[in-house]
Amino acid sequence: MKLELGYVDINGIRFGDHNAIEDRVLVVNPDELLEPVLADPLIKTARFEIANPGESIRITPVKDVIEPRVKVEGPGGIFPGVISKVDTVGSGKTHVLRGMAVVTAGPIVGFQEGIIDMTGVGAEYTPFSQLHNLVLVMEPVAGAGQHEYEKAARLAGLRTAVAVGELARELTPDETVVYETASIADGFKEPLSELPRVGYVMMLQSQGLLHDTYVYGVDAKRTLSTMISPTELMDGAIISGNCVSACDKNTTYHHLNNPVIQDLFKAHGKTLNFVGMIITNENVFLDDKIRSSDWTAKMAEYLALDGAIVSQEGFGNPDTDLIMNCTKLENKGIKTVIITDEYAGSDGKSQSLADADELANAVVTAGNANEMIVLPPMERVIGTLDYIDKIAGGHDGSLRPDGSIEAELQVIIGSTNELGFNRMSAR
Amino acid sequence: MRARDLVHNGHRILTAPLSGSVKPWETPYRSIMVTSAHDDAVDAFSLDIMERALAIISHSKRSPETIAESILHDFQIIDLSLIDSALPSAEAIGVYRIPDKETEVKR
Repeated sequence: MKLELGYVDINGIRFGDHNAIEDRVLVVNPDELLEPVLADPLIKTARFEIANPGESIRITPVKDVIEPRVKVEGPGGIFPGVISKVDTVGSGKTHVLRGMAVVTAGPIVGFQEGIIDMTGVGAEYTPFSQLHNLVLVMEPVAGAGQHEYEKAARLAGLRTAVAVGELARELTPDETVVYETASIADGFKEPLSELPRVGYVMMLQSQGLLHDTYVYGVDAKRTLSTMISPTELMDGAIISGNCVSACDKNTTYHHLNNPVIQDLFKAHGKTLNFVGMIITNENVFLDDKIRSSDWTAKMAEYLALDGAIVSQEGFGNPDTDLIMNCTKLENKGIKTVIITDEYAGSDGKSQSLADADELANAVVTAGNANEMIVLPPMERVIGTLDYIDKIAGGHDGSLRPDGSIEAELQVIIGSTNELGFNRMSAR
Repeated sequence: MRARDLVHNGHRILTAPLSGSVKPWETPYRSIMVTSAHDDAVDAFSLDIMERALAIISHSKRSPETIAESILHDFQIIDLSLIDSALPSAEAIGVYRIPDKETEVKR
């Protein structure tokens, strides 16, 4: 499968009386773009706000972050099975609005979390502080059910991103990158046959309300582990329905820009043969965990992998899935590296994961989510601070009278992202 | 604790005790599905997973003492959704039967 990504750089966003991209600036007519959002009977209010890198702005509670894209050649459209008709994506040509995102914000439940600071110490911990953000702030109608409203807010964000992406259809990209996967047969021919066969196992949150992920529109909890082309993700085959655990959930932006995939493509044909990708769920039911990890290991064996990288999503019981995946792969002779984050207490001394095994002997950590931070007050808040004391990692008194916040790192969107799409590192 | 006692009485744990990304110290609700039937022997896997979960919960910080009614309601909704998500799998192995819709409508 071969996909060409054309990156169209966006250097700013402003409101205007029409929708367009002019001289690398996104011009938004709020009334026009909000019309389909407000057509949803569950959404009471919706408005756009703009947040640029370096501005004294705090966005909270954040639901999802989405990068606008448009499919310009090849089958299917962005977010297939959800916004576009079901069709296999991941080939042809796609334009990417690089440097910006659509951010959905506003309450879903009363302990909602997720902060993006556009400046200060908090900005250092989230990659989204570096983007021009078009923030869609929404409120539910009274009495809207949490399940129904989460879906409405999720779709509103995706629809807005697709509408914005469409504006780049006729533009000439600033940079073009081609991603191509080899067939299984080609992988056994020279020159790839000389290289170690490496696969990527991506774990998807799938436990219930605010913990769900969709693959071509299918709720991942009702799926068996399966194969997917990494280029399919670049066209939005996987979307996020996650609103809990801000630091280590994968937003839709993460799915579109998965750094594990990016790095494997870079090494492909040089130091390794990137054979393919397996997606597997993280369910509540223990038999599902056993079955899904069995299938992951079985498929990796079918693919004759020498090595595997496993990325986790979330914390707690997904640690069980992570260790099951790792040990079953290792027991088949497949050398496995896991990527996770840690809940090791504010001093970093407690056990990091809820599960462990001696076969999990190669671990990349994305940071300790319990680390305490103090976020300075911001001049402007997009959304509401009502939930700060309630969010994961916040506590009664987290929000100080001067508007500063003392909380754990886990309040920040993407701070310990387990795909490695974060700014914490050690050298 | 009640789930662990049931494990000691031979019931098997069916759902992950630390389900969900809502942290143990935040929510007062944590439903765990166990088999209604029990064996004479204790299931080693169930015991291990319960002990690990209790160790994590006991090391976690104290919950806030007061939580608003509306937030408690939201925690309940999430807990229900997590356990709900396991029902089709529970039905598949015959430990639970999802009521058919017709019966529900009649009620």
